[in-house]
Amino acid sequence: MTELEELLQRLHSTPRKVKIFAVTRAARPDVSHLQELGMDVERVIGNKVIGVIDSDLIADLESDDQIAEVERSVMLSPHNRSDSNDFA
Amino acid sequence: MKRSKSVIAKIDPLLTQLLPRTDKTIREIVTDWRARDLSAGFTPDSLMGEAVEVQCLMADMSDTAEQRLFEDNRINVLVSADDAEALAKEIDEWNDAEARPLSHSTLKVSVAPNNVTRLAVLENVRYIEASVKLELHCDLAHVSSNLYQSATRTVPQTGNGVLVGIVDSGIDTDHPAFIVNGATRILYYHDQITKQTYLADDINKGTVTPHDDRGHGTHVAGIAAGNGDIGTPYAGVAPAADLAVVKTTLESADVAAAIQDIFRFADERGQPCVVNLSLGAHRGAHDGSNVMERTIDDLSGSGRIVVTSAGNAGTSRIHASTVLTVGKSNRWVADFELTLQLINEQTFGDLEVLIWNQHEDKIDVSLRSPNGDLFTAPQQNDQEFTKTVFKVVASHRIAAYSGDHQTSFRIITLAKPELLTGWSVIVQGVDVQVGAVHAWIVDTKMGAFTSGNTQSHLVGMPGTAYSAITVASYATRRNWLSADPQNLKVAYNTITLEDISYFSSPGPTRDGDTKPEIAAPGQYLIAPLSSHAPLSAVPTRMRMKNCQYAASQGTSMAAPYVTGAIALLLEKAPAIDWAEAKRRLIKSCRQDSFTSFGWNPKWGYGKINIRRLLEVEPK
Repeated sequence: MTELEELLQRLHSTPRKVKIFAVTRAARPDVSHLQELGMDVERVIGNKVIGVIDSDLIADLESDDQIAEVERSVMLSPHNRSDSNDFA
Repeated sequence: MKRSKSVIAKIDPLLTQLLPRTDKTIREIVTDWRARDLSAGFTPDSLMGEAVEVQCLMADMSDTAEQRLFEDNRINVLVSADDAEALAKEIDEWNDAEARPLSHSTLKVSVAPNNVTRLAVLENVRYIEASVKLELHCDLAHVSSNLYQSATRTVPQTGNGVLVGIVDSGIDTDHPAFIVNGATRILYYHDQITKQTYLADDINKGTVTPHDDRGHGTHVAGIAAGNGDIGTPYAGVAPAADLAVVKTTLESADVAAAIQDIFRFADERGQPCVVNLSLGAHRGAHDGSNVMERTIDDLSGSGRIVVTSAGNAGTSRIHASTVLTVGKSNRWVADFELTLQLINEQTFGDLEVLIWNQHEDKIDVSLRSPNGDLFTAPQQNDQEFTKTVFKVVASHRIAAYSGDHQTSFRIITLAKPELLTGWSVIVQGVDVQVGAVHAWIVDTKMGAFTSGNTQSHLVGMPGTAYSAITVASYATRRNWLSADPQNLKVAYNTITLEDISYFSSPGPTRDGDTKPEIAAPGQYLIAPLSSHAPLSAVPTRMRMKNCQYAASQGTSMAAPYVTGAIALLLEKAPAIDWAEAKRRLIKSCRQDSFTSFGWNPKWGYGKINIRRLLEVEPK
């Protein structure tokens, strides 16, 4: 195994399950349809559905007729700032 | 004279700075200090030696006390004694000191600094405390925002009846800033990690102990709605508001869910509610069209308002942009470098760059590696390119909501110096109708642009959410007395008070929306310190002396300042929505020589003016 392959293997130990937003074309999402597509639905906010899905199934979800849009949940960072710039 | 440890322990550390270390008198030290040119602020030289020690003490003295020290070589101290009357008689026998008993066990003593040790040696003396200048009973930020004048609140509103939501790292429920008459003001607490929910009764019974092991959420909550506590001047903006807190995983989907949970709780209680988000990221379209941001728009409405921080990317080089010439085939290159990262003892480069262009334009986007390889994204979906020492994942998407084009490249490299520099994004206009092209490196830790970068469009998500009130930071404090004996008097005199914080992220959004809308005090604010916050998160120099409060800075601190102000506004007008709240903020804000007039990318429309905010007439 090359050095790069080793690095990629270590970095790719990310979980297969990812949290997403799925936006449905219909104003009221068909939750059971989303479940059939492999999504564990956590909550519904209007036509936006939050849930967890296997990363391999995202492409199928994106191409589904009922789904307008899929967005991966991303990590946000707190907006405090250290004093390192001021503290000599 | 050699001083014993027990004698020193009787003396306030502020006073030990004045104990003579040289043959100079205080007058000589002060004269020498005053002869220095301090107009340029502290320098390493001026920070050394006895001069700064005197200066530190004098900064906490009243003008009268300073004059007495300079002219009479005397200072006032408060002495705790076993028998104040007996001690006063003993001191009065000295020629150069005066004592006045204040109670059976305390005295005010006027004494030469080099006699403080002589005083401490006396058996009758328990402790000698410096007589320091007392601050007005409000923090400096409150004066700047016109919430306080002459130590008195300028407005009758206190946030009473309003629910303030905090989505953050949790809260120290035991902190006195959130307890009134022995009862918690935290009515709802949900931990997204443990999935536990607690109500006020649970917290009051002490059967649960939710806490904040980072300190961020406690500080943020205290700025918005801390009630202060006896002996501290650090009350929040809305000290009588109720609190609903969600300890979040920091995932954007969970943050959206937290807002819904807090608004639902407000619905159940029939309360107006404002939710604070002091967090963000640079993924996404930077135009408010992320699903997470549109969820905020969906959830906001009458009596339901979200406030966000603009971000701290003000000096970063993570954004580059150009406007290609309309109708012509032209080319733009933005160079960038990677920063090595260390995760799990593995060092490597890992950078993701997102390039956005308008749906009207046909533009080719490619990535060039340091050795000249070119990578182009496929028309749809992803494509991986694996070389010997690095890998590139290229993708292209058409955003479902706006129709705009997003091209992204993720680069993973081995930790080799030659792989860190010399990368470029190359944009070739094919059919240009609008021409605007923006590129963001999604995290400052990943790397930076070395050409083509611009100090604009640095408000990330959810700060670009259309409905959210987005807050920039300006400076209102640069010194404090800390709990760190090595840095007792923290003084960052390079900070210009009332000026924009260097770190505050400027707008506008990619589609030209005027973000941030408002600026508020965010550098440095003193607010409650979580008892579980580690020193790595809140160093001793940031912790206040003698109270459970700490100084912190960031747009994280500015946002809750506005959140508190919106709570006051909702107390007065519970049904207003975000649009009306923004109108009133803009109409009432303060503009000065720092802000200029009208909207600008750093300040928004100006500085928050709470008194005027609450006087704006309904539309």
